[in-house]
Amino acid sequence: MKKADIVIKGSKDGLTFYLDSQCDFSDLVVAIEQKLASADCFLVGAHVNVDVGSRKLSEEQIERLRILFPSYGLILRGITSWSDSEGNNDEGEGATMKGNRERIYQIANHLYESSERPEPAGESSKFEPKESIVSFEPATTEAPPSSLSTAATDDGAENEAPIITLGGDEQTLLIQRTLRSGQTVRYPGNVVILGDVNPGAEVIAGGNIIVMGVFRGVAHAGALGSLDAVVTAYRLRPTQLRIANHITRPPDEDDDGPDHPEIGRIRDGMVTIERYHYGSKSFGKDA
Amino acid sequence: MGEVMVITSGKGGVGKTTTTANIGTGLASLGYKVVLVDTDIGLRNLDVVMGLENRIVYDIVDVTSGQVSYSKALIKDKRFPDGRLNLLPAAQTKDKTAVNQAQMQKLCEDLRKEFDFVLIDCPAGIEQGFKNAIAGAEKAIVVTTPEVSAIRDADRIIGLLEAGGLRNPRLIINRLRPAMVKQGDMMSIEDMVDILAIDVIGVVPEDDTIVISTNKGEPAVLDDNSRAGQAYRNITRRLTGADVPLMNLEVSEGLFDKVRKIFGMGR
Repeated sequence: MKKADIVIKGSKDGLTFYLDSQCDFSDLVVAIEQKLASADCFLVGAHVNVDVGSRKLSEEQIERLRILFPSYGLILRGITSWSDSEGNNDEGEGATMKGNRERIYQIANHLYESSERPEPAGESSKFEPKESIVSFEPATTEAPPSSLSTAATDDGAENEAPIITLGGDEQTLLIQRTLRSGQTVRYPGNVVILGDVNPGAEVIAGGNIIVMGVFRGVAHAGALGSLDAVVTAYRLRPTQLRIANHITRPPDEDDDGPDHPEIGRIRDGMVTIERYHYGSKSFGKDA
Repeated sequence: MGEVMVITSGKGGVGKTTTTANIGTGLASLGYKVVLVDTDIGLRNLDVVMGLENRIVYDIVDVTSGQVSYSKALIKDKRFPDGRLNLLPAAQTKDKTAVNQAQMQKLCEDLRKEFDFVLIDCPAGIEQGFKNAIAGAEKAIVVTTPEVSAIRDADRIIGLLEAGGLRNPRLIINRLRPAMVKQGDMMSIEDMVDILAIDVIGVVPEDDTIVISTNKGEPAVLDDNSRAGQAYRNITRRLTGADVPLMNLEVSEGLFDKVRKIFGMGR
């Protein structure tokens, strides 16, 4: 069997993964996972295009890729295929399989249009905003419909839609133990930890981070770019606090923080940490 | 069937080997059949601390590679005439890759049939040597000193032990200086338990007699005048299920009570 070959190239538009079109798809997935795992959090938040060459992807395979990248904190912008398939699938993703060099999956239309890739003029009309969002609706059906349905229908909200819809971000991971030094949690949605997060441990979440214990490690909320993300802890003593593209650390002279729960979030372009008040509308996005 | 217990720390120099030697000797003096296994291949020194270096003929690699049976490689400690205390030394001329996890599992399985306690002295670090050392163990003791770096490494090790299926390891705090803790210059037992959140099985005070006993190859646990030896005797008894309060480390009554409370809660 041929070894799964992956070439990664970077440009100002993000990273492009060129995937071998001959080997087994499962080998490719393994190879991608290895690459992403070895890159640690270096690539978190990067925009990714995938070029699968002449390979024809099934819907399950597209879905697999669609989930794979966000699980390592990367933003999948599109999948491009040179496939000459007959495209006998129905509307939605299947329709985009036709013709030469097509994007068979895309996160949002405006991202797609900003791409430098030359597109066949006749085919580009297929990528209308609504259709492109509908095309990945199957994966988000289990998420709360309220926010998603607005994202799918209201074009005005589209600027924020890619991040919210990506990987079903309204989902939450519950961890019922203490994270110790060297342990990392990565999740595209929210992360809730019932326990402490010790120094040397990392929590990287696409959404919010909530710790029902002492947070002493490194937190990265909104790692996929969401400036609305917050970090809340019963005792917030982070080594470092990151929200979206902001990085902060506690002041050097401050040895012990206050003895009450706190919330960290971005206000006026700065990460601020305040006392967490129960019942205030301080949590997450203002309703 | 005996217990296989690994003594580990992550950071080097916190007293794993000294602890292994003292707990092993202490258990033997209580009448148990004990074997100490040094897995620090290439940097062996448990034999030196035990004062048995000049009697090594075969080592752990000879046993795991199947060249000799373990009974041939074991060194019987001269201080216990009935051969209760045994040492399986590490190889000095090889490295950690000379043994693998499956071999360690088999070795521990064999040893526990004959001995009440199999104590494994783990090398520093988290690589192959550590993985070998924990492979056959069913219980773990984590040794730390009251330093931030040692605590950080202990925390990492506890996580790795849990990932390796060794739940609820127990903590030995080594080289505590009560006077410094009292002045606020050293982490207190509470501070450490706060972060590591595991049961404390003993606190060993800083004690100059340890240096002397280590150099002479006479474990301090046999010295009735050594405070560290007393602490190790207490740890030994706790390991066998006895309920022994933490010894008074000459600090204020308030802190001692708190310490005892932590320990009482932990059990």
